[in-house]
Amino acid sequence: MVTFLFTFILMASIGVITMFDLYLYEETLLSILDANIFFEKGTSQWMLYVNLLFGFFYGMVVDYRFRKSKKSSKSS
Amino acid sequence: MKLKMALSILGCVIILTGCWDRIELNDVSIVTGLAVDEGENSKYRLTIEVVNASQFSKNQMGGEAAPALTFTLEGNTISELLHKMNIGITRRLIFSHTRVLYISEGIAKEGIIEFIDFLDRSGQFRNDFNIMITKGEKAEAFVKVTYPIQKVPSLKVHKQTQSFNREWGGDPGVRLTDFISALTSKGRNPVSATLVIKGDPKKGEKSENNMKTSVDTLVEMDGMAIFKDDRLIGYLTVDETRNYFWTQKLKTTSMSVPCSDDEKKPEDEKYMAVTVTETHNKLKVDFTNGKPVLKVKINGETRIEATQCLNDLTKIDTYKDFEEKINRYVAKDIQETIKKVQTEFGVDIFGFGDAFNRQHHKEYKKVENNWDEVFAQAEVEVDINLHLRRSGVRGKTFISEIPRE
Amino acid sequence: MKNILVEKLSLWQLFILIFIFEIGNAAVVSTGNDANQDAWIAIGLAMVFGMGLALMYYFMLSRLPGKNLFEIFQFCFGKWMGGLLTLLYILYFLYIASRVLRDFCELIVSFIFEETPIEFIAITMVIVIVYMLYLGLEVMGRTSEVFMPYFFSFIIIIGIAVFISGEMEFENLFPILGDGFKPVLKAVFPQLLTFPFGELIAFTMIIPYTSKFKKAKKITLLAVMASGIMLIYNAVLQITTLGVDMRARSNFPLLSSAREISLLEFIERVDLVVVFIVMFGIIIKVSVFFYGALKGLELISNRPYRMYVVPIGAIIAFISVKISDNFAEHIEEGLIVVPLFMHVPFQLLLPLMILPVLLWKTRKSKEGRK
Repeated sequence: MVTFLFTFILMASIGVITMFDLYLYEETLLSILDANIFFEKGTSQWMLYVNLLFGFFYGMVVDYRFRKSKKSSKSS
Repeated sequence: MKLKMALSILGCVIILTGCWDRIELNDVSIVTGLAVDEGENSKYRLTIEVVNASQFSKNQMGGEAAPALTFTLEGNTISELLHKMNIGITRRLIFSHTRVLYISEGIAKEGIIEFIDFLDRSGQFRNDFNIMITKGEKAEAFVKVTYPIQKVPSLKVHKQTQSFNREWGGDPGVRLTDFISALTSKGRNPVSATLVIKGDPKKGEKSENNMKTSVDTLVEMDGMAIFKDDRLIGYLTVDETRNYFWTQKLKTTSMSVPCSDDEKKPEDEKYMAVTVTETHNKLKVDFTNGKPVLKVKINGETRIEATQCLNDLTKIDTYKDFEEKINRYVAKDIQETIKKVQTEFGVDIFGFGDAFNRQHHKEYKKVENNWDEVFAQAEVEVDINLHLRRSGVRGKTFISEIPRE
Repeated sequence: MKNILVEKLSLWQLFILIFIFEIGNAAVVSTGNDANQDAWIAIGLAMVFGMGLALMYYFMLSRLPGKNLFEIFQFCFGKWMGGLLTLLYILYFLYIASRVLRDFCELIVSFIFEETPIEFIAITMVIVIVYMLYLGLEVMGRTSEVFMPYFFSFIIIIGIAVFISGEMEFENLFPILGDGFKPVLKAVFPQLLTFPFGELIAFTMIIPYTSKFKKAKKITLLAVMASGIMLIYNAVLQITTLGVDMRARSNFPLLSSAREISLLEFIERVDLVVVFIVMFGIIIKVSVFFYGALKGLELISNRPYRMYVVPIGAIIAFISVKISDNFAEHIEEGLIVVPLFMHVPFQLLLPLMILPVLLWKTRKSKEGRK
């Protein structure tokens, strides 16, 4: 659930900023999406992606532990 | 029992005491610079620069003395000369702290392979010294020019190149291994930074040079030298060196970009000062219709430091406009420099050959042996994609608000 | 549901949180520029309207004591419709949190650490915020309690120091209302009303958790008033030291005016104090928005919000950098697009639409109880 909401919210927020960019710039949707989703070399934005990956895996671990504790509480 | 005791004591004496190769600190002198010239009677004329360590302690014993000492010898191989130096110098020399290797123009034109091998082979030399070609004066003169803040000449040059490389990119940052790998590769030719002396070299030798606020003699960076194999064939200016370095490992630099597109006289034109904070450079060679096309792709981030333009820097359109201008300006600069190298020197110093080898190995193998000629005829495409991020702590410039008639 | 903790804030902590939240980045980014030298009047007007807004939010909460805004949605519209509204609000909160964080990062990058990449600053700030929220709302309240004296006194001291340094020119304030009320009103709506004051909507997630809910109304109003007065003080300070033109040109006027301080040739270069103020204000502001979003997630997924702190924090850092390509876009988006398309609907229109439904539903339930 955490992982799912994480991905969902990430995509939705990218959608929000893409919407604003569309409003401000006269560019095609695809080029804006490209700029918002991927990163260019030569910037330090790779850090953000490492951070996001960390968040993603953290969410998976949390989910896994939550499910495990639920199962054990049911069986006991 | 006694014998055992005696043996063990003897063993301890042999094993646990100091090492064979030990050298006491007061028996050695630290060499910081080597300068190689053409000899008058023999092949080389070598000058070494030795640090006078007592000049660096806070409470100077023994009064004012020169911060470094130089000594010159002539001979046929460098290594022999280095061991022979004690003809005039008291202590043994150690070379692990060598900072700069100065090579005079004359030697460089004849080829430098012969003594580079010694530096590469020797265990004492590290890879962290600069290789510098000296223009104008003899290389010998360069190790003698002192400087008030870094008193030892070679340390000064080393620091200077480091700062220049980081701040503006006017030094190609060539080290020994770079040089040798460029020499051995067919897809690349070596380069190296060059130095000149401003002022009278005789005056620079004295430590009175350090007493002035504006020194008489100064060693300055002067762009870079281009080699074909191991022979020097020409020079690039400082600005062209920066453009060369754009295609290599440039991190930060700054430049003045004209505000308007139409050509004007430099004094009529208005400029904006742009600082590049981060870049990523990629060389590519595309192979279309049997002809290689050289491609340079640069991504990065910039910010505006100052502007003489009247455009409103709080508007997105201005940013977009400026971004395009910066990209065009950089692309033009790099294109011109590559064209110049192609037409005037005809050697690939950028490493396009290596990139070609990695990307299209089979095609490269066919032209490997005459790559430089292929390079000289190839077309160049420069693709710059710099982002303008911010403009300091002010939005609009106050220039635009000064009332004018 | 059993893992979900009940957290309580004291009234004093609520007061501090609102105070710091309002001042946060509003003190630093130049606000009310449309009103020129009357920016302080505009702020005062906006403050009055802001108190009205706060009253409305409180009224909504008081209909169903102990429930936060998102629970009210669910109460009014049922699970699905309420969930959708909650999701929208979560996105809104996260977006504003990222925007506020970006304000701070821009300040740091252009004033102090010119070589550090902005991404790194964003991530480190988020780490601090994540840690604080992971420990919970009470920790946030206590942290702000600890730092409040510094925060408050630093702002006051900056003003006094500038005054003693002789950099203030009160003529800059005149003519008062020289161009009439029009520019002032233009500055108030929609920019000033929504930017520091309307953002109180995030507190609809926090006010229900105060220990004495009945008194929260008074405290909220007091806090809004106090922060409004502080912002007026700030605006006066900036206008008198920098002048109208300079203030409009500065990206961060409070920092620029703090740079003018030179007391007895001894107390100089105190602009780092301003950075402290901003940093703390931003931490609280981001945390409050972040907390609101987390509470919404808790409601939707029925899991304790602590689980979401780290992953969603990563998203905030990500969006705060991606939100705009350059500073001009950030400002233009923040001053023109966001107030119209995000603040006004989420702070005014949606609550106003919900209010009648809420009244209708609560009236029915009360009648039923009778």
